[in-house]
Amino acid sequence: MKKILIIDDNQQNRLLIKMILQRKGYSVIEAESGEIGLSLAYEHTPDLIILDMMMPEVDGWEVMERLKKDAKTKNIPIIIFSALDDLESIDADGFIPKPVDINKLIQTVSEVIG
Amino acid sequence: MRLKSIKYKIVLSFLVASLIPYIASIFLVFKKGEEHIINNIIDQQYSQITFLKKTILRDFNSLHTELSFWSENQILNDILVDDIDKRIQKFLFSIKENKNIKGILFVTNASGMIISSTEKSLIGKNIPLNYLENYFSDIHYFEPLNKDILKLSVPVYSSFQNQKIGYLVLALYPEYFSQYTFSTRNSINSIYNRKNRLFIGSEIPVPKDIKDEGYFEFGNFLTIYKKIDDTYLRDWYILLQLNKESIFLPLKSMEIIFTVVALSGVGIILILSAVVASRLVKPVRLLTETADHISKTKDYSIRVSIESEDEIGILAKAFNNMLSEIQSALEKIKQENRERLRLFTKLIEIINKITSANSEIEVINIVTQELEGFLNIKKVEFTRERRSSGVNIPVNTESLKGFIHFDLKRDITSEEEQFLKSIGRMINLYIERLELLHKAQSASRAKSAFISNMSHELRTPLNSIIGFAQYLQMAETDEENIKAAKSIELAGRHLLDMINDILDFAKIEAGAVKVNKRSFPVKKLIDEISAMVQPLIQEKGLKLILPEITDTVINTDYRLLKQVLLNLLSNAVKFTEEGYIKIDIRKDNGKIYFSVIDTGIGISKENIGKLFKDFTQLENPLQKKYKGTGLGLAISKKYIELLGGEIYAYSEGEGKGTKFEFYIPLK
Repeated sequence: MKKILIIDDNQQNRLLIKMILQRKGYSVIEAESGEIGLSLAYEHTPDLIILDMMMPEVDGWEVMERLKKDAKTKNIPIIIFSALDDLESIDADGFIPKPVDINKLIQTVSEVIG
Repeated sequence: MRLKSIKYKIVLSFLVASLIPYIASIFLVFKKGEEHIINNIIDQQYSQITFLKKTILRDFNSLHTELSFWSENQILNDILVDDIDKRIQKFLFSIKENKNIKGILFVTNASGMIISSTEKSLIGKNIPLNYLENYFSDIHYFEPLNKDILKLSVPVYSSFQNQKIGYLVLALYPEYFSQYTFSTRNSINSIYNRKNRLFIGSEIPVPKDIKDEGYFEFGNFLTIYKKIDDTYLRDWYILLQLNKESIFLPLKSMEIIFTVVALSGVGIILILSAVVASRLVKPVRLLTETADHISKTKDYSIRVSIESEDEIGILAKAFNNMLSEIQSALEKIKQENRERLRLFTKLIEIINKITSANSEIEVINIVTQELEGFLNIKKVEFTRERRSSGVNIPVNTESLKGFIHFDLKRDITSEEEQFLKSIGRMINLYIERLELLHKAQSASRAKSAFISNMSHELRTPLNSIIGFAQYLQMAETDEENIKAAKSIELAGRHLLDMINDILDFAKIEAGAVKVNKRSFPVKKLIDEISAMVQPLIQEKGLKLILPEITDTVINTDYRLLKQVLLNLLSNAVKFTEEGYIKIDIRKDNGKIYFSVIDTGIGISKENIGKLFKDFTQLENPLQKKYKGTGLGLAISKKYIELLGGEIYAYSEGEGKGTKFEFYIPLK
């Protein structure tokens, strides 16, 4: 069973994605901040990380930077999940704009980790 | 030679100076000479006339003497004898012929009857005795001859008894005097009897008041006269008329020689004076030409080279000195101008630095560093307290309070003080401006941050609502519930659209929209947009016509352009119930034109102008009829303007579809 880590400070967002992905047969773990997300990523080395960019304290960019620095986590694919207008400039494996479109979420996730 | 030149004046004055003695000589020589010659001639001619007079008188006397001598001839005794007059006749003729007498000789008896004569008609005529006794009669009319004559008579005595037996008479014609007249080419003379106005010789005009002797001029002639005043001839004159031309002939030739000599003299003087004047004028002209040349070329390094020691030389030296003075004065002015320009440039640099300063304290630093050494400023400092020395320019703004202190090398002039005060005013003004700018910038930053924050805060819960509504549609099996979840999603999306519009508009108003240009192929944009709108179009049963895809690459803000096209397309879908929606692209003159054409409800002409007005202008015709903020077109218009383009709407009228077209630069 593929393990997906969701890092988002918004509880509703985490819940929605978790419910959708669990329904599609993925194992889901949640992190409510960048810092927690990083430690969970190190601890569990998930198959995929779905990352919100706009977070207080450790934001999405810092999380990405620190993941890339660590040999253990640097190869984990990342899907950006954000309401930002210009996502194209971020070096990531996939993008899911807010508000979330369920079909697009499922499609993108399956494209990245099969 | 120029007419007004000095040379001309010199030559002219020389000419006048040489002509004056010439004219004076002519006057003196010729007038005086004439007088002299006339006097000479008169003297000379007088002696001639006197000589002539003496000759006439001597001849006359001798004639009388001869007559007395002839009267003593024996033959005349025959007077007493009748019929012997033939001998007397012969005697008389012989005398007449011998002596060539111009007149008549006759003999009377004692009673006065002419008994013999060289003129036969006289014989037998009686002559009064008293006439005969008078031995001389001046010119008078002699009746028997019917002629004017002069008469000489001598008594004839008989040789034996010494008894008067008759008279021997000589009647002389005035022509007698013609032997004393002559006529040459230049002079004539005449013997003149005043009483009878008789001229022997040529007739010469004679004035009435003629004296004993003298001369008179008549026309071109000079007449000299003398009276023959004698016992016999009392009223006779000798006249001598001379042609004046002949008198003055030697004078005339002298005149010509004199004129030739004088004119040659004048000519020589003219040439010499011209030469002298040229020598004199040449340096003056050199000076003039140099001055002209300098005034044209402005080359004050030129000098005149005149080495003479005279006044001209002094003038040339003075001229050269003046040129040196001008040259150095000009040099000084140029130097001063350069210095002034340097100061001015420096000042502009300082002002430039001040105006490009980013902080208030930077302005103060620039002033204290750059103004040092400017004019007579020794040191510039910013102080909190006013100092007693130098010049203190107060700085009194919200963020800075104190004095710019100028330490000066010498006393300040009022102009310099004015200058420093102006600098002070500028510093205060600029610091205040910076303060205002910083305030505005921080206010703007706060506004942008707020909007960005609000955007996030508003959309986050809404995103959850939409997301969960979607989830329910997926997870629920009850049709009614699925419909309800669908309604929640649609309402949420609608609300999200409106919030997005309002936030976009607010960002535009706050000036917080940044244009981030990058290059991308148009095809990519069209693909993305068509993928986004395709589901909506299909849902309404419409057809989407896409442009022929080209490999055109444009450099613009991807997000803004995408948003505009999406706005136009979603409007088209919203207002079209059947038919098609078409996207057109064309390039022209460095611009790219995008058109979105639909077959929808169209817009009336009067409403077209109101389309792009924002909500502050109300009256948006679409807003009333259809749901939405109505800000989509206003935002699109602003975005297109930010990208450097323009947007237009066209419609044939209500029910005839709409066409929106805009252009932006390709780069």
